Amino acid sequence: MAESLSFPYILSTEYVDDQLARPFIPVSIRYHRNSIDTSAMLDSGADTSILPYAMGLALGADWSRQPDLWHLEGFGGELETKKLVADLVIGSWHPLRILFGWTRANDVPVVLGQLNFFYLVDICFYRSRELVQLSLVSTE
Amino acid sequence: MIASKLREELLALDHDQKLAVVALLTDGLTKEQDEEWERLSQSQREFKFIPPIRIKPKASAEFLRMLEEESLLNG
Repeated sequence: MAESLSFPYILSTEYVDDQLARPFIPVSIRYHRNSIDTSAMLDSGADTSILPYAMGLALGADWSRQPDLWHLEGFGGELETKKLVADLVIGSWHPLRILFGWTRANDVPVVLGQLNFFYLVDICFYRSRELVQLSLVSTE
Repeated sequence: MIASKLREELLALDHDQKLAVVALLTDGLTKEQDEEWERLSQSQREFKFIPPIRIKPKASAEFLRMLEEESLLNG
């Protein structure tokens, strides 16, 4: 059985200039033969996971060849996204296949949302301790 | 009409030119106006940070079906 993992909330001023620690976790994203080490924000309020544009390109994805993911919308209405399924590695866990909405935007972090990340991983947020705890969903 | 033309011209400016316009416009602000400007700027940054990502109401069933078909709902 895979061990549960704990990560502290961190300040990430890369995307927003404030002093609010958020539940970012270190991950590796693998797509075909390419891999990127980055941090991803756990967002229980997001329906899906999101991959910023530059990161998809760095993983070797071709915007014109990825299928449209027309199902999504953002605050301002239509959200142009492509479907991109990649492997996500957290700590010593086996890779998780995650469906990302690959967006044209670059001013967003990698977001891990409900579908399908939260189906695969149980997550406890401890805001008071600025800590997040993850465990793999048991399939037994 | 004038506002429309002005908007068009402002949007055509490059980043540094836009910053120069902002500096010009905010130069004569009172302290309260300056704080309000900062508050609005902050909310804009927060809005850009994570737009809420939603599955369209009528697309959720198909989205779930797609995940199931690709065995993405269980490890």
